[in-house]
Amino acid sequence: MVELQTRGQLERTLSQRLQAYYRQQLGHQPSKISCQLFDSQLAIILEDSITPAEKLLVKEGKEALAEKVRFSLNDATKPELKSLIQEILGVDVTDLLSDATLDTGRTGIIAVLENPPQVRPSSATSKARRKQTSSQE
Amino acid sequence: MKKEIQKTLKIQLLKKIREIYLQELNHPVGSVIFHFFKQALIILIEESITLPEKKLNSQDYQQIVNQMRSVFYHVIQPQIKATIEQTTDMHVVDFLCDTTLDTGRTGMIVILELKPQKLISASH
Repeated sequence: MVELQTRGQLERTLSQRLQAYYRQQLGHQPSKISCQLFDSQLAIILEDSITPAEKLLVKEGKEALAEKVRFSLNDATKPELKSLIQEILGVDVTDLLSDATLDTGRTGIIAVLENPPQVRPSSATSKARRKQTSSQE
Repeated sequence: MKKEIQKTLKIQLLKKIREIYLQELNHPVGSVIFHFFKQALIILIEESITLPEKKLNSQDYQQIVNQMRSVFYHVIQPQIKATIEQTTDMHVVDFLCDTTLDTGRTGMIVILELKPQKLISASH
């Protein structure tokens, strides 16, 4: 039987797998990926997510083309990102929303999940619960 | 951001989002969900697509709907930004927005930063 991960572990696994995904698929690794689970939603923020090719387009004054390239890349990566999130969290992704800003290099992704993923309570959560239960007694 | 400010902000934004969609598109949106995450505010709006857009999407005119959406984002973003900046001591540094035409869901990620004068007073 596969051991359940805590919410923090799942978020870290997601960040690591996403780093690897971007490195392999686009040859560019974002400098930082933050993931946060909220029951049935997952928010992901990628810093420095714009590839050198897109930066070159902006530098050469082709912002409109760079915007189109980014829009298409976001669209093209959605099915694989969806599968990756489903595989890690063990729940279906019913919607994936993604946008990026060329100026800041930031990408934001929101995944809407069919159900909240199963997580193991972290020791901090368990301690807080025990404390709460004992104070209620 | 303090819990009370988060609560006030949610109320103000909910009112503003409903108002913009009604005023600009005569369209009542469905439920709106807010989450705070580090320096980010996550907003999810259900039933955010108008009937003409749904019609165009069903007839394979996605490109024109996407163009319409990007114009609408330009209308909605400054108003949401202003509501956040008036309600909190935070400054909006990034605004990310996407809609799935098939589900009618819009997601926004707003990246916030303490206003410069607050940063100075916080460091003292």
